[in-house]
Amino acid sequence: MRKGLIFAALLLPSCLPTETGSVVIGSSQSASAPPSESSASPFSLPVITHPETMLVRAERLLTQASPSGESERIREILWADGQGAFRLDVDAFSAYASGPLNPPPPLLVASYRDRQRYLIRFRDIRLGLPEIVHKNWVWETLPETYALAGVACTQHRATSRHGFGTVTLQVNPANSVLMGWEILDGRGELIRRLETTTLDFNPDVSSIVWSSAVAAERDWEEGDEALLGVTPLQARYLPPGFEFTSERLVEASQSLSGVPDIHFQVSSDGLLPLIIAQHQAQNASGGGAPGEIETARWSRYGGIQVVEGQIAGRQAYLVSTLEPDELLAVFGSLLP
Amino acid sequence: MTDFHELDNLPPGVLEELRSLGGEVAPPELWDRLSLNALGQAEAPGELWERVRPSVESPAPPIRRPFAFSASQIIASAAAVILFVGVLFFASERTTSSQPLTADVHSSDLREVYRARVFAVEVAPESLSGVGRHLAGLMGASGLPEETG
Repeated sequence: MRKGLIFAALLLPSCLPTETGSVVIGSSQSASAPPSESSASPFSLPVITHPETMLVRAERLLTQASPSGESERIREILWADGQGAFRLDVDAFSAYASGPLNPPPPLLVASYRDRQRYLIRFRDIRLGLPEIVHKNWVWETLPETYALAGVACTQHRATSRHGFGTVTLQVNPANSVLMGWEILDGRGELIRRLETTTLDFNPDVSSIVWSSAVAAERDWEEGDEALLGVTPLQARYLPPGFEFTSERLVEASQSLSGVPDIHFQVSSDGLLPLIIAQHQAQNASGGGAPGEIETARWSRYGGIQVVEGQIAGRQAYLVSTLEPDELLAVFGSLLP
Repeated sequence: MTDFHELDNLPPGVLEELRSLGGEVAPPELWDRLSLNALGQAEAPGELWERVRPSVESPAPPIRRPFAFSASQIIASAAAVILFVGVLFFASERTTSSQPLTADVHSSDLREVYRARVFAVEVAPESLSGVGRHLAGLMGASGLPEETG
């Protein structure tokens, strides 16, 4: 179990783009502007400061779809030193959308310990390059505010131009701190909502053990195929609006016995990530001959879709909030 | 489809006539026909030649018409057009093959083609591999079942 956790935790980079400040191009749109092509100009994005870039202790309530189809709730605590270090702990849990929160199960505590830095970077909302975000999402500022931690937050809503859902950000208008966000899928169903409940900008962080990467990783370089044992397959299809943002090699074999090196690519439409991870298959079974039909396994995991399978000696994984057919098409495009 | 490499073996006489055309412009219809022929969708210029043969071989005094050509001129023009189409064809092929991720990477047609290459089996979350489940966890999925074995 522990090995599996570590193995998976390696797959996500510790140095993906971390938004340390605001992203602004031009002026904000009118508060009453509808989400249409004509109202998308001038090019602008909400001004956002992520709490993990500040000296802060924040309590947050995460509500998200669970594998059973229910909505589960997690209360978590974020610590950050304002210098780039942070820590994310789970504090309480409920498998239901309402009712009391209970002490978190040990497995959930362990998963937070191993995944905290990746949750911040992949689960939480992060804006990509402004031109990519603008190309794929239509922004509007909602007329009503949303109260979080005693703050009347401004609400910015992004609607996917490709039917991948909506993302709503709640921002403190006084300091631009991102106080909350919500992701709905293309059918309007909740994937995840995070709400800040308390904020302390002067916490004692002297005893905090900050999160750290489990294994070394770096940008993928020519010749790394020899380390990986296979040449990574290249996706020839991506969902509309998605572009590759990083290609990395996790050198797990150097620090963890029995764990292979892993190649992964992250693509994004500016708000939603899609991860493609590959490593050498330990028990190769996939054919992968040209024109061959490959078998893949997929599952809904709460609001997350996972596709996995073997292709020509590689074990490949695709993970995203997008619909399975999109992921399966990407998987099919990996076939030689 | 026409093998454009055959143009490398044109008879010397044809090549000379081709060069002697200078800036001569082929009629639009001839262009269309030859383009179709290059795509393998029509028999040209043989069919075209049969159609224009009566007027070309007519004993009547020549009339100055914009699209009046001798047989050799038509053949030479045909060779020139085919050569040009061939160059365009190969230039296009090279451009495409050197760019693995171009704009059509998002094509809905591509999505259907690649989706059809995968036989998908939906499984319960606990039936995914440990890595797959924990990748989902990295993106926020919780309620992770205990890994067995």
